[in-house]
Amino acid sequence: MKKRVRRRMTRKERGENIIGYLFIMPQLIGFVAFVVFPLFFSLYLCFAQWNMIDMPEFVGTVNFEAIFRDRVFWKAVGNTFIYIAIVVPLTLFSSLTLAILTNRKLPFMSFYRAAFFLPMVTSSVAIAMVWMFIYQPESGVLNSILAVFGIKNLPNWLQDDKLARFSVSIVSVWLKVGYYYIIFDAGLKNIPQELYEAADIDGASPLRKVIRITIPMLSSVMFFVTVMLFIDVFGMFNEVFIMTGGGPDYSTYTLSMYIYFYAFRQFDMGRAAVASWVLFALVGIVTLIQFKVKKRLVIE
Amino acid sequence: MKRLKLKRMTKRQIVSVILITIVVMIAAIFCLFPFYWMILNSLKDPDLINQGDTSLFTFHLTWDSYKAVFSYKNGLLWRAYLNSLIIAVTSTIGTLFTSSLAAFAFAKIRFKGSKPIYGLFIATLMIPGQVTMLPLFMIFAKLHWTNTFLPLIIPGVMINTYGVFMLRSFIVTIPDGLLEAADVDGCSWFRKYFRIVLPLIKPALITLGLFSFIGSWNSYMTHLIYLSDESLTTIPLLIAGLKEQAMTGVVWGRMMAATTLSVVPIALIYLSCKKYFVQGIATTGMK
Amino acid sequence: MKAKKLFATFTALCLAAAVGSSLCACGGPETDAEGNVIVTMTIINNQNQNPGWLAMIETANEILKEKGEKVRIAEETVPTESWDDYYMKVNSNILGEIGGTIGRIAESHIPLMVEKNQLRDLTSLKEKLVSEGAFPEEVFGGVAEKDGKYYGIPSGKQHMVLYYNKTLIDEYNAAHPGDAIPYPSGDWDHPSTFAEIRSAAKKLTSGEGASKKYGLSIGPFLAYAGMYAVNSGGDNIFNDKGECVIASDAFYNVYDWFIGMLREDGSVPNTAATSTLDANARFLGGNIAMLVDGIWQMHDICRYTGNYEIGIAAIPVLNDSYTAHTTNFSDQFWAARNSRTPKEDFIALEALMSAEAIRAAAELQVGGIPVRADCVDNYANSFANTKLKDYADVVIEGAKRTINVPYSTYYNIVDQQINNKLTIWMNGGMTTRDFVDFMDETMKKGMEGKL
Repeated sequence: MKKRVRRRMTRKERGENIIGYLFIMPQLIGFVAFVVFPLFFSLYLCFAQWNMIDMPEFVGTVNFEAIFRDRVFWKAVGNTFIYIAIVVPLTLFSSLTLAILTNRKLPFMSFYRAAFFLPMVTSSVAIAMVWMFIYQPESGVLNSILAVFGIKNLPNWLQDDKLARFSVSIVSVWLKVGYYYIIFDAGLKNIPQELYEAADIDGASPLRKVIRITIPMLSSVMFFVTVMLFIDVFGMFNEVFIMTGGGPDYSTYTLSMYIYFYAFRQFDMGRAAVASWVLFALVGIVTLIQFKVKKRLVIE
Repeated sequence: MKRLKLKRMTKRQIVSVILITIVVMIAAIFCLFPFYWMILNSLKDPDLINQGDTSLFTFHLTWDSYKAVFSYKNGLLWRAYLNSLIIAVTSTIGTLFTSSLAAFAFAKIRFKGSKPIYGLFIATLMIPGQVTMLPLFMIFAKLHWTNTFLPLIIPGVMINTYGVFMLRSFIVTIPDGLLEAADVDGCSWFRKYFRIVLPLIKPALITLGLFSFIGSWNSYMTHLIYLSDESLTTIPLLIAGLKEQAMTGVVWGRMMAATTLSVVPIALIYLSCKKYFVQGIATTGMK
Repeated sequence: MKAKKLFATFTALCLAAAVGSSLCACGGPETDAEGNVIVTMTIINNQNQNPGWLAMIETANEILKEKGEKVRIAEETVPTESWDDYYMKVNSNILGEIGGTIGRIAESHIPLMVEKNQLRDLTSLKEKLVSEGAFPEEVFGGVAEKDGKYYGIPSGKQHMVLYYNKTLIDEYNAAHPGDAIPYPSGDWDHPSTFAEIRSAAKKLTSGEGASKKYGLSIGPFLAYAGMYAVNSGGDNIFNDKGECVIASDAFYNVYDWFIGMLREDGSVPNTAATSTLDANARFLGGNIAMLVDGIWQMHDICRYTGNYEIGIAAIPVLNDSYTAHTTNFSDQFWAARNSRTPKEDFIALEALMSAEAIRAAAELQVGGIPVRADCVDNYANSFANTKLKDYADVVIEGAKRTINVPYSTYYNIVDQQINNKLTIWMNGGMTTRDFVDFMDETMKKGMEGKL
């Protein structure tokens, strides 16, 4: 009797096993074919030279030496950090501020929200074109507005090597704010109202409430947002590629563009693979820091 | 006494509401201005744009730029629309199907290796696309898939770790009792998936569908890499191609008309499904 | 059960799509209704030159038909105007074994294609063409030669000339009788000097802002700078010993000349101006008075519709003691190494290199001056019924004084890095000396494989 029960269980289990694998089969095949295999292959490519027709040829660390000697590569890495220094705080600050400001009853609320969300759903290629048009040095609307305020030396937003990064970053922030606004907005709704009421009784000022209650209570969300932003910035491509093509003097060049250039313009797959792993390592480090530091900083 | 205090509070509140409205209004205008400028210039007389006219409120509106876009390369725009739509719709439907299947299996079916495989899936969430991009290009070239839509559709359909992750978190919340009740009725797993789970996670499916549709509609780099035939052009490629016209320089009026046409469908979809977007993004933040 | 069916259908569809698409690419060569093998030829999308290339293909097909060959050529236009994008598409088509198995590409990309082992050895075709006496031996080689094998066939030579708007100069001269500007010289032995061109450009510049008219458009790119350096007694990037000599007086002079016109005189449009409208379009619109550009623009320029006259002159030199040289750019015709129709590719290329086919392009002023000796006259005569009929000799004479850009596998990267710095220098961010030294240093790094 006992035996029979156990056997029936195993059959059911076996059935579940088969069904389970059947269900995950498409994704599992895709996972092996489009994630696991490419991952190992690109790791191998880091140490190989390959013309993509014949078999890849193992060359040791040649690609690493080439890339670490390359001025442009370091410039791309440096730019990535400059982008982070501009985009991350700006996006964080503006989306959080907007979320806090709109966390109450206001007239035209749905208009604001629609306005904040709209940039994030539009194609970055299309919108980069619009911004390029706005940034035009001679016939751009931005410069003509500045001219109205009597500014004489009108900047050349996308062709000045000191300004171009900033101009591109603004577009990037503009594209992202809506997304993080929603996350913060949801986070704010989760803060218990009693905390504020208690603070009101103590007569705390609004700013104090933000610093003492809102920010600590949102720390977990802020952490998540920061990490997402870092990863977003590491992968920046479309806006830059369309607006500046990486110039002037590589001042807006990103790692993604470096990878694209070596992979699909020079067809130097080895070097592109190394660059892509550098990008991966940066993402990995940020994620790791998230896990390590989160425990200490975040109030759950 | 109490009444007086309340009144004072209200006054302060009114002032703060006005101040906040001003700040938020400025931010909203900043967000919307590029759209306004895009639409205005798409309707502006192209000659005025060429002369460098940047007045914010001129209304000599014409359809010239739109006509120019529609007649660009014998109506290539329609072709691009159709292609973008084919890619976006097939990859969205495909990814919803496969990732909900897998999510269901990971959440509710007990099979050997379920946990480690799911762990592996999640571990690869953070891998940037650039790393797998090169080998994928090689795979698709060897399969003779370059210059077809397959490289843009198949990877999204066959693997969507984010989708599995998101849908699983919804399916896990479905009480086991519901499924067990179906067990009693002799329901197969497929039937359970189709009849019970799918209807219950409809909001999540819509959210994921929207994201993958928009992601596909807006993606550029993969299109740039894989598509070279003019008949396969997509909206982002068409727009980038409009910029490239070296002989004439950028015809800004026409460009703005094309970008308006590319942004409008997405904006409409978004406005009609705003709720699902907000839900989807908000839950990401909570995880 | 419905779901199971759906799942099965979906999987089957996916598999069918995959297998189907792989099969149709793997199948035998494509043929037309008459059983001719179709050889696809890839060309870049250049509205200015496409009429010529299409006429060439059409003529080649007629020849194939006459000869009774079972081969026909179909064109495939890659929708881009940039050679870099074009190369990317060609490359991915070769790897995927789809699209054109023969094609045309700028010689700047040939070294990379050879190095990546993408091109078929065309030595036997070259030998055949030379032995028939149609192609002189010396037009082969250069970038397309590696280890005694030839990977590309040039159909024509395209060099740089100075186009000028006669009417604009006439108008200036009528308004300033005491201060006349002579037309730039069309005599390659006695060309205009840098100083003369600079002063003419300055005088021809007028207006401000969006309506500004410029005197001269000149590309300060490395590929063009070599000829100016040679025209002022220097070397074309490398000296006889193969050493990079960009950091020399000749280049300093040339770049001083460029920047003087660009920044001091304002007679050359800056990058901001040309980003809104291409220099060529500006010249044809009467917005720029003189333009140094290649004869690949000839098809367009011969058919200009503006109410003015255009002349062609030689490339300027430093002073009277030098004669003019000009940079030569030869496009190459190639065949893909992994083509499944190698025999047919050869036959197609041979038909394209026939006198009739080359003439078809030459008569539309496309493809430059034919390298086939028996086609040069057709090119020269084709000017007779265009508005530039008086200048055929200037163009043909220029082809005898050409220098080549030393393209190599690293040249494109060097060029890209230099072009990135170019903006900085043009906007006044660095001195000419520093910029030229930077070019020198970058080229040397490229030679050492350190980029």
